[in-house]
Amino acid sequence: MRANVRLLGVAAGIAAIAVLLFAALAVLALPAEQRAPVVDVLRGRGVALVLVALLALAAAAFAGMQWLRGEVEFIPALTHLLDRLHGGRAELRVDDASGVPAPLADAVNRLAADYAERRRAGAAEIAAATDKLAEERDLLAAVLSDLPAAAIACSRDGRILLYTPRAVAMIRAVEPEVFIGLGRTIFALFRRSAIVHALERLDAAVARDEARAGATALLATRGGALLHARFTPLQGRAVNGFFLHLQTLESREEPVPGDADGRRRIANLRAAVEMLRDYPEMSAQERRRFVEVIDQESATLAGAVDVGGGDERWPLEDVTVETLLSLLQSAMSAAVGAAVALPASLPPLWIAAESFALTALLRDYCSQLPAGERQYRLDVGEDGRYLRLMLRWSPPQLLDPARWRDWEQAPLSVQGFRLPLSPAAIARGHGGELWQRIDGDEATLCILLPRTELPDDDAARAGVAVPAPQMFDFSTQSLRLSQAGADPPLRNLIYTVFDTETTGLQPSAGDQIISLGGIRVVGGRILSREVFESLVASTRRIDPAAQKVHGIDATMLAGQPDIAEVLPRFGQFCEDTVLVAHNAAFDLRFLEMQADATGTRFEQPVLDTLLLSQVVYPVEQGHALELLAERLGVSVLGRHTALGDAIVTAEIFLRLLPLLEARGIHTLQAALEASRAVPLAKVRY
Amino acid sequence: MTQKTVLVADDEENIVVSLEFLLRQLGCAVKVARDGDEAIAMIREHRPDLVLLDVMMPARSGYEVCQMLRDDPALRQTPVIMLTAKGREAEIARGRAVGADVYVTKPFSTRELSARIRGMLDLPEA
Repeated sequence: MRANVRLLGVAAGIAAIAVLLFAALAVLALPAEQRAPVVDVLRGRGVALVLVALLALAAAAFAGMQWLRGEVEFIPALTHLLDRLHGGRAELRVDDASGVPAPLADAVNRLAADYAERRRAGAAEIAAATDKLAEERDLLAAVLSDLPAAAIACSRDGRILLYTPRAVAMIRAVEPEVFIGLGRTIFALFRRSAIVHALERLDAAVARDEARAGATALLATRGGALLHARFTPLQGRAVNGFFLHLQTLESREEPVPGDADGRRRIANLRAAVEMLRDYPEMSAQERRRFVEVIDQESATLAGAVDVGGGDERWPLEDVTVETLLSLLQSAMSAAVGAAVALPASLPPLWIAAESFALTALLRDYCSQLPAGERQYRLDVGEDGRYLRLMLRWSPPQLLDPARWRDWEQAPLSVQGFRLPLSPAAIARGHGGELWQRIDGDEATLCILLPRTELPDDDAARAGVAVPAPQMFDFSTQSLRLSQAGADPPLRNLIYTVFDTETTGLQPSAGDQIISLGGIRVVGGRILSREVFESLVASTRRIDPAAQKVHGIDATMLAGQPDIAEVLPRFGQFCEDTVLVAHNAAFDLRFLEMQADATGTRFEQPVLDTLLLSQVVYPVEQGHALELLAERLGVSVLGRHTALGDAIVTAEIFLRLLPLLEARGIHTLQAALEASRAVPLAKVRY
Repeated sequence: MTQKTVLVADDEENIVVSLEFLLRQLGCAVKVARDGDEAIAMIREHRPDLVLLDVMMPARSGYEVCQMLRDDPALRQTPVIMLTAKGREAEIARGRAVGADVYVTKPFSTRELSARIRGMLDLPEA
């Protein structure tokens, strides 16, 4: 119909110009005498003539415009179509009703078909190539998830790369407030200094090319629980880090009967002796029985006397004296602010020692001494099955005996942080002893440590090398916000995608959050195991309209934690990440309203999928979550629960990323600026 | 006065000899269980007036036996003396937590133990 009108316009314009030209030519073709009367007639109607000419020109211009419009009108639609094609909708084609000229439409469609085919082929190729990798990874994941061990892999800077469920359970038992997750930092759990200390030892072991390089340490969590940790190196093409194998001390101390057994023997012996002493009138048969007990237990004890040990003794890593002393030297030099001397030569001996605890002990002792200039040196001496590790200093001065007794039994502190260990416990843990004394012109703090058999160096190296554990494909650099720099690429950031359900739609009028759900996106992957989900007790009546949507009623909220409890915890959950929500202004307003009451403010950058959708689809009308999901091919499951919506939003967000990049939006700042520029950004709640 | 019954649960024959002798000298009837499961069964059967419970036993530890006693309304009132070679503070606290009336660490003085038993069973001074 419109084409006909256009055609009519074009025809009329051409006809008008043709008539005008024909008339002019006809006049010019007449002989002069015949032309004169015509010219006279025309001269008399000059104005009319100009009007006719203008009319004809206007008709011609209109015709041209109509013709051109037909040529360009389809351009925005075609561009949009091409964008979507590029964004992954390879099945889209130009259809006949689009107004695109047939040859162009054909060319575009041929290209699209070719693109679709290449995509298919490429996808199949990639799928084949990644299948094997995925299989290995799934196998590894399955093994890991069933692994009855608490293991955590971390990059060199403490970022968690992988963890086993057992590790999460163990940590939750001692530190319920700490989140363990991919991309999170292990330093939320342990003090950096303790980890760095263990890594230094690990590096030393690797440098010595030990076949089974590793280091063990007792790590105190920030809450004060003590875990035994074994560090092994983790080296891959893209990863340089460490593997942490955690054990609770309880699970380790069980199989050590040691002292407990000795006490039992003595108990049996003592009871029998006391019976003989207290009941001399007993029968000869009874007496014989007790004497038997005494004989047996005495014999057993005599054999056990030299075994020694104690049931608080720790399982320790063997280190060379040289390694231990150089570690202690650097730590002590830093602590006393002066160089601590080492002996010129050290015996090639091995001892079982926990160097972090020993360092803490030595440092704490020094801090107890009265202020004054001292010269320190470290020394070792052999003492039968033991080795004396000595810190000596002059001028000689010791803690007075009462002070010493208190110090020996009190928990140590390291940089203001209390270790759940006393010096006496550390000595006991080593199966050793601890004393101070004056030797001539020097004072000495002596730690007696049991020697271990010298391992044959060559044998240790020839032993079966344990391959470093295979790694997940964590080659993507995922960035926590605090280390991301000024304008980080969108691809590499760690996100928390969240959603709320509320009592109603008016935060300013007192509506409240009744459900909060969030999920983490790290390295372009949605981490389905790292979620936050909580109902929230509310003092406000739930609007029936809202309840219809989310289905949460007052009975479900009874006994749930209130917002003052949930929000700080959610704050921890999304710490150091960029927030993402659909129609974020709405959710943020609710969070803002609670900021004063809960003391939790969300000040990190926020991306809104509603606004990003408008950036990507300026000509499309709907940006509601369902429409967006459909447009981007995201299947919608579990909608209208906070977590369900957060997951849908996360998938949408990941699919918007390449479309944003196609528009030159690669960084966080660019995305924020583009979001601010769209009309919907003006909406306030 | 009726004779009191005391159950001794310990897998160490050499301590049972002494405990059994001591309790008989106090005029008690003595039953002996060799592991945690047997202890539970015998407590149900004999309803002893006192239980001497070793912590480290096969099958069920003394902690578990004590916990089960305290969870059973019929047996809740049974007095328990825990005997153990584990003398650490944490372990004593654990014994207290599962409801032991008295926690005695090995080695112990038999005179002290018999004084405790007499007190708990309301027996006359020797």
